[in-house]
Amino acid sequence: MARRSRARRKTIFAAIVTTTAAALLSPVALMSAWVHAETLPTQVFSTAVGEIRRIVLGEQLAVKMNTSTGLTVTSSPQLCEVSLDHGEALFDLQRDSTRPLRVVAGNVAVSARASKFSVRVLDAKNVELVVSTGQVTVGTTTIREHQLARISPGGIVLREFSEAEVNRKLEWTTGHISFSGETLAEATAEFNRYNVRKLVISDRTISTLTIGGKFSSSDIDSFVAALRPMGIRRVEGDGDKAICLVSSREPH
Amino acid sequence: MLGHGVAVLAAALGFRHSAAGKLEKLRLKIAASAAPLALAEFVRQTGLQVLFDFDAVRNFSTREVIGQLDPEEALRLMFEGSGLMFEFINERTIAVRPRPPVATPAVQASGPT
Repeated sequence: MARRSRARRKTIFAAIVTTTAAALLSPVALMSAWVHAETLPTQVFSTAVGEIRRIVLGEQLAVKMNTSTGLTVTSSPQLCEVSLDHGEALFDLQRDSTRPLRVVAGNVAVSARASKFSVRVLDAKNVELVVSTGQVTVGTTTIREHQLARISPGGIVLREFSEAEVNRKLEWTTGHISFSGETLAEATAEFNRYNVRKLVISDRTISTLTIGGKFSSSDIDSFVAALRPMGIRRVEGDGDKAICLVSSREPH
Repeated sequence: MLGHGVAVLAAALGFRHSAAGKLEKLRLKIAASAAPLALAEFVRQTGLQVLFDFDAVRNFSTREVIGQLDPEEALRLMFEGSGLMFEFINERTIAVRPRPPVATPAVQASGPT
């Protein structure tokens, strides 16, 4: 009787241990599944407004994602394919890379080996590509070091860039925006990519003013304050969501 | 009137000083060149933010600057005789613009009486 009771207690104890172990193991199992998902060939990455993120894909490819960017990575031993769904990213493919890289942005497919280049989805049909080092190909067109390509359904327009211009184009990788003759409309659009609070030009007379300089992409208040000596003042817009810019000069 | 003018000037200088804050001396080497290029180099070497009206400034030239200088001293030397002026908006931001033409008081021609 005593033996049977002891055996029963053992069974109950074993059941409790098994249940507890299962309960304890289930988060581990979940974690394991998550880790496994991370190592699966397809991975999805995104950045929020103003966020810049660096991801490393294997030993030979590093990707820096700019603000509001979404991309999907599919890897196989033969090829790494990145689908740039929206936004902008800088791809740095090491010289000793054995696996080619293919970046798909809209209808554009960029093929690369050892190179450093950025791809920006301007809209559904237009893509901008800047090659910093090495070369890449789009269809039958080769885009070389220090070239910018605007790719649209109408074709590819290539432009030669100096090293300084390439570096200026890639200032975003350090959290900066640089201007060299852009209009105020273009400059505010660029700031708006990086900030939740938006700049709105409420006065058409100032939108074509050209500007030069360099700012932290998040320092919208200093930028607006520095416009004052140019005869541009701020008026508060939609609560704390927008800053409206108007001319402070009297209309003629 | 003169006292008021001095006070305004002092306030203006005081503002510039406080906006600039305490600036560190840096080893700077900026070649004489067109203002937009020189300012880009100034920004690169100092890490400060600069804004200017590109079309208004592009045809100005600046002097060479070499030495251990704080950014305010450097800009003063760069802009010497250039026709450009600068203003510290805050401790890390500078606005650059052409110096406005000095208004000369109209001289009343007076003939012999």
